[in-house]
Amino acid sequence: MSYLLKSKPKNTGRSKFIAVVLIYILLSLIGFLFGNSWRRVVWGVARPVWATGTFVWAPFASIKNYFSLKNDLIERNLSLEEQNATLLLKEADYDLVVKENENLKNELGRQFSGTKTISSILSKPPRSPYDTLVIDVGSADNITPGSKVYIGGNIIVGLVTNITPHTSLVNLFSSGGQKQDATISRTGATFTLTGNGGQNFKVEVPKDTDILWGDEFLYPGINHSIIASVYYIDTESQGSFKTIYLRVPINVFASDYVFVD
Amino acid sequence: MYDFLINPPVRVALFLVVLILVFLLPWFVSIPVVVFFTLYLPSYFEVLFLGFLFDSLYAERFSFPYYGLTIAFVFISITLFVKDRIRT
Repeated sequence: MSYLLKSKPKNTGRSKFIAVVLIYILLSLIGFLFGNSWRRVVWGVARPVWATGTFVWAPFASIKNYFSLKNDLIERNLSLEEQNATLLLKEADYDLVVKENENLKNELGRQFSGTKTISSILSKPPRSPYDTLVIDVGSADNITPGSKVYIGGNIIVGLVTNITPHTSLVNLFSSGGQKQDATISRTGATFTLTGNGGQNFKVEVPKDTDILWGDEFLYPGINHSIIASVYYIDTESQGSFKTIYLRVPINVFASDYVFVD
Repeated sequence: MYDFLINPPVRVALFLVVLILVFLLPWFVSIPVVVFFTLYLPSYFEVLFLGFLFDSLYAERFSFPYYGLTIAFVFISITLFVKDRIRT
C-alpha cells in the first residue's frame, strides 16, 4: 500500500518576521538619516489635524461641568473666593517687589529682558505618552533649542529641545527621570529635583533639612522663575531621609498658551 | 466580522482611523486600540509605523533606539511568534 507524502507545511512565520525586521530597519534609517525633515513633515501634517480637533472639541469641553454636584460647586466657589482675597492682598506687595528687583538689577548692571513670545500649545499630555508639549513657534520666530518655556508669567515648565521652522517640542522638567537643579526661595539651598511625570517632582533629603510645606523651588538664574512648590513631605520612613513631593503650581495640561523666552 | 476586517480597503480605512486616534485622542485610548488590532488582525505591520509615529510626534529624544518603534517591534514579534504556534 502506498501512502501520499505529507507535504511540508509552509513556514510563513519566518518570512513575516523578516518583513518586520526589514520594516524596523527601514524606519530606523529614515529617522537616522532624515530625522529633522521627517519630523517637520509629520508636524506639518499633524498641525491641521490638531487644530481641527481642538476646534471640534471646544464646544464640548464644558459638558463635564453639568455633572458637578451643587454642594461641590458651592464648596469650590467659597474656597476660590477665599483664595482670591488672599491673592489680592499679595498682588499689592508683588508689584512693589518686582519694581525693587528691577532697580537692584539695573544698579548691578544686569538689564531686565522681558521679551517673551506667546505660543499656543498644539499637543500636550495625555495625548502624548511622553511629558512633552508641541507648540506652534519655531526657528522662524527666533526660537532656539534651550529656550525657556513659561506658563502664567513666572512659572517655568521646561526647555525647547527640538525645533522646525514653525513648530517646537518642549521637554517638561517633570518628565519621568529628568533631573533639574532648583533653589528654595526661602533659604537659598540648592537641590536636584527628579521628575515624576504629570507635573510632579520628588527629592530625597536628610530628615533634618529645612524644607516646609509650600516652599517654592526656583530655576537657577537671576530671573527668579518658579519650577515647583512642596505639597507633601513624607517623614514616615524609618531611614534617615525624607521624601519631598513637589508639583508645578499651575495646571500645565489645562493651559492653551505658553511663553517662550 | 474578521473576514470583513481583513479586506484590503477596510484595512486601509482602519489604518486611517487609527492614525486619527493617534493624533487626537489620549495615549491610553489609542494604544489599547493599536494593541487590539495587532492581536486580532493578521500581520498588523502598521503597528511599527504607528510606534514610529508616536516617537516622531511626541518623543523628546528622536534618535536610536526609537522607544515607540522598538516596543512595537518587540510586541509584534512576540505576537507573530505566538500566533504561528497556536493556530492549526
